[in-house]
Amino acid sequence: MTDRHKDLIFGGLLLGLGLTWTGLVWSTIPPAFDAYSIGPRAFPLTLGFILVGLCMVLLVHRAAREHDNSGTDVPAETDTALSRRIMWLPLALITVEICAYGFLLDKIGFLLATPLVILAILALNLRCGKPKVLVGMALGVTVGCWLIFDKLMGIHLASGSWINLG
Amino acid sequence: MDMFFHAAMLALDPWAIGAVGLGTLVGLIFGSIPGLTFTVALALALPITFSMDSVPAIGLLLGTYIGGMTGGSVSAILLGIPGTPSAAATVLDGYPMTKKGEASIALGTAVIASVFGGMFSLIVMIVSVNLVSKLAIGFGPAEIFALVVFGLSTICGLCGGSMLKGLISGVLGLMIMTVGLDQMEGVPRMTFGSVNLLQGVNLLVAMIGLFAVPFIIEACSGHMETKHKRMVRVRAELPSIRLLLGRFWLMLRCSVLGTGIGAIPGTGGAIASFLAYDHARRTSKTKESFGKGELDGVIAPEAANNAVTGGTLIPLLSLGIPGDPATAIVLAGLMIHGITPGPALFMNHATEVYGMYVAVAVAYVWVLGLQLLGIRLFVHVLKIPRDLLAIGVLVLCVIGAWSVRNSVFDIYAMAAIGGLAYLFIALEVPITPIILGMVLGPTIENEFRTAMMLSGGSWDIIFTSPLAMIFLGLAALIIVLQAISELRVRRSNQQKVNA
Repeated sequence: MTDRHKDLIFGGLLLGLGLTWTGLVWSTIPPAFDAYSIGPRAFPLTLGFILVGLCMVLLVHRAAREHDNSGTDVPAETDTALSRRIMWLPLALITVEICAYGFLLDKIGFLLATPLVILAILALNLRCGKPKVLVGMALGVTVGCWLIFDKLMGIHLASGSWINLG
Repeated sequence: MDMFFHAAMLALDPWAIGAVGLGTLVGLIFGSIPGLTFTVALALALPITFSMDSVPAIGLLLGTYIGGMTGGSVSAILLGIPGTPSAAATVLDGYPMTKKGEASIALGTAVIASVFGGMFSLIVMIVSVNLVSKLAIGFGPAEIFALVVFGLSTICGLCGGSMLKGLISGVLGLMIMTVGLDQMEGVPRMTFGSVNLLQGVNLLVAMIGLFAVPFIIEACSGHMETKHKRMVRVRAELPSIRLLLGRFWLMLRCSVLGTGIGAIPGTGGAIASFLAYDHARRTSKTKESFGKGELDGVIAPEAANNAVTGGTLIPLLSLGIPGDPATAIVLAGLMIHGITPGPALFMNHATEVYGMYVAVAVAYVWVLGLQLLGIRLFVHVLKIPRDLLAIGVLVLCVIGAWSVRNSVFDIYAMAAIGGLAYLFIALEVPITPIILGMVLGPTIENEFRTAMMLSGGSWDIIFTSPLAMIFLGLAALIIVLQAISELRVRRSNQQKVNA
């Protein structure tokens, strides 16, 4: 996918978001009580209009460029050193794993949910089959975090509603 | 004076010193690992501070910030990979020094230059914050609104290559913060009947998602790293007094430069360190040795990027404007502990502010000690495979998000925001403006609505205020200058292509 295509998709998706947002704000948030004050609707509505406007400018600007990737783009400084290729599988896996971690925290608590999720990441994402690494990471991280946060710092870690190890 | 002594007592309490030390250590470790920035460390450290008193809590955050800024030099010198963007200029001469077998002296000198720059900026900060706060004490809602608009205009400086994408990103941040109960009238906005959304999207959860989750996804995207990085055996060696005295003016000049640049919101350590490096090269008698392992090429960027820390805290504390993502998180930490930076800071929280000054000094003492004595630890940390490190970070993220409200909803929100942040980064959309929008969003809306309420709906309250007009003018100037700079770069690239 070229930079131009990426920008067109990004602009298109956010244009859709902006229009949906504006519509929802208009239909669900009441306006101000009188004509002299600024109500709760004004700000989100204005932001929706601004987003729509900016996305349209981006789309027009990128669509108007016939020659793609001519080297005239200003190189963007991204916030981290991530590669520019989107890796959909790791993205989906990690997102699902974090959500599953949250669900399990609520049901079986930190002490059981953490090693399970760590084992899942090691096996699914990193294809790790070494028993030493699997057991070491699962137990080491879980016990280490439990000792530091729960016992030393007194931060409440999740205790499950199905199984509660305390 | 009594207040200062009271604050010093609070900040020099063993518990508070330990908290600053812990923060500094975490910052140094995160800062020294390429790809794992100290912004991530700050986002993860924030939930830990919930149960702490305000002075040690802020000390921990400041320690993390300062440690992170210094830690970037370790991997820059040893591996030739900057741990943080602000250490990028240090690579130019630091790594050649390592190749020449002078890593120890490069590391030792980098630490001294960092501490010098940081302490210099602390002094400037102490003098300036109160002064700027006094000037700002008469600000009304219209002036504060204009000031925040000025703060938001710094998005242009934080948006990397594309101002348009940066502005879109900033608007998204502002939009996110309108979700939840309206602060002035208590009307639910964009909550879709969800009780969880009534409190809005938590700033801390969003920060963890935006900065840490993309790193986890990237690090866990392949098979396990089996090869360990080759590392030289090193220790940090202190430079001689003579060597330091000979470089005193260079350190001072670069510290002034770093503090000045840091005080301008939207700039940051990377710009300061490259400008300082360029300044050192231009004023050196041995220009040709730069890039080949010149010690001045390590001293200049390190003094400048650490001087940025004090500089960025000036607008943050006196006006409530964060200059970069790291200070945005510090601002969130201050607010969580009931400290609202801005003109009234000294009236309401003088003890905490003095405590912060002492904490910054303590953090630099920790930096000196930890870097000189514990350099071997950081070398070992650099050997840890990124993917295994990412698993630890994931667990910390979840603990952090959970501890905000003990709610699973926040973990789901973190995952969603993190996934989107990963996509944004892959599409080269800057994510820092989102944070700036989220931090400044509620203030800009509340102040504007208050101003309108006071004036009976008339915009004259803004247009007749000279200060408000100055701030709005400055905001417009920043946007125009950024647009011109972007056009120039584009034209220059076009000419290169044509040639």
